Amino acid sequence: MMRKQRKDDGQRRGDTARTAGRQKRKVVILNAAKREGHKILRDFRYEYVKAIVKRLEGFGHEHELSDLRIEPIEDFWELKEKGGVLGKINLRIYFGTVPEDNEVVVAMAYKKEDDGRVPRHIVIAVQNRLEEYRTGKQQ
Amino acid sequence: MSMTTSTKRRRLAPGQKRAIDCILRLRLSQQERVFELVDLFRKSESAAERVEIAAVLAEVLFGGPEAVVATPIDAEQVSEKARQALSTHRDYVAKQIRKRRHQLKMTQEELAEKAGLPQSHICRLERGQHAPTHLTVEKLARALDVRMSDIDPSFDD
Repeated sequence: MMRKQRKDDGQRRGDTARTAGRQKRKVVILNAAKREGHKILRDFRYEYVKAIVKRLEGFGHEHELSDLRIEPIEDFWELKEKGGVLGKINLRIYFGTVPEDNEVVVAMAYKKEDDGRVPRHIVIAVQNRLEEYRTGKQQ
Repeated sequence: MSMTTSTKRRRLAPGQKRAIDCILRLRLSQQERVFELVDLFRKSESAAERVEIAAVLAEVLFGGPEAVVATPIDAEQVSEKARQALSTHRDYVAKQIRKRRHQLKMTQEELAEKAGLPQSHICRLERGQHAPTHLTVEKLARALDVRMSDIDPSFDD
């Protein structure tokens, strides 16, 4: 019985979670971030970034995401990607977590013009969206 | 007469009332954000940045719940053509990595160690399951002693 349950669990997790025993996170994207993403990226590029963002299912298991540039910013994180498929686009994806629901919440997609610090108003916007989302969940 | 003037003065114009109501219905954390944004707007010397700050300000003040509705990433619908193009791209990159690794007679483990990436990641890349990121291509190109564009033609070295 135990063995069967483990097998079913493994099948449900799919390939990227060959991280046996680890629970994958649920990755969700806010409507506002989705709109921004589509504004910055055409279909192919959007699909490429979506595939990268989907890998945040393994967020918290650094080994899984060692090829992604992720940095903490105050109480959320920044995923950086540029060049290659993205061409000249210097893309930043901002996300937070809802630990109670094991969720990663993509709050904003932003096209950065330089490699400098995140502008303060972007930090405020991301924090506001994440707070609104978490508050909405509690109600 | 003076009573009337005084009463009139005590009443807010509809626009003023709307503005005050708008700020008062915000949570304290949001009110603080509004004041900080106004300050940033005043101090900004870039027209483009001012537009961005104003947009954030409007979002904090008037943003409806719709903006923070979330969709699972898997439910995101992108065109079949884009999906196919990405799959072709991944397969091409996979082939280039495998080919070069074989030329150098390296195992996946050896490549992983040299590139500083997990072996599982090399495996997924060579199976076309992962989209290679900038950092991945950079590390692999160094480890395989090739240009980034030899692995992924979308990079111009």
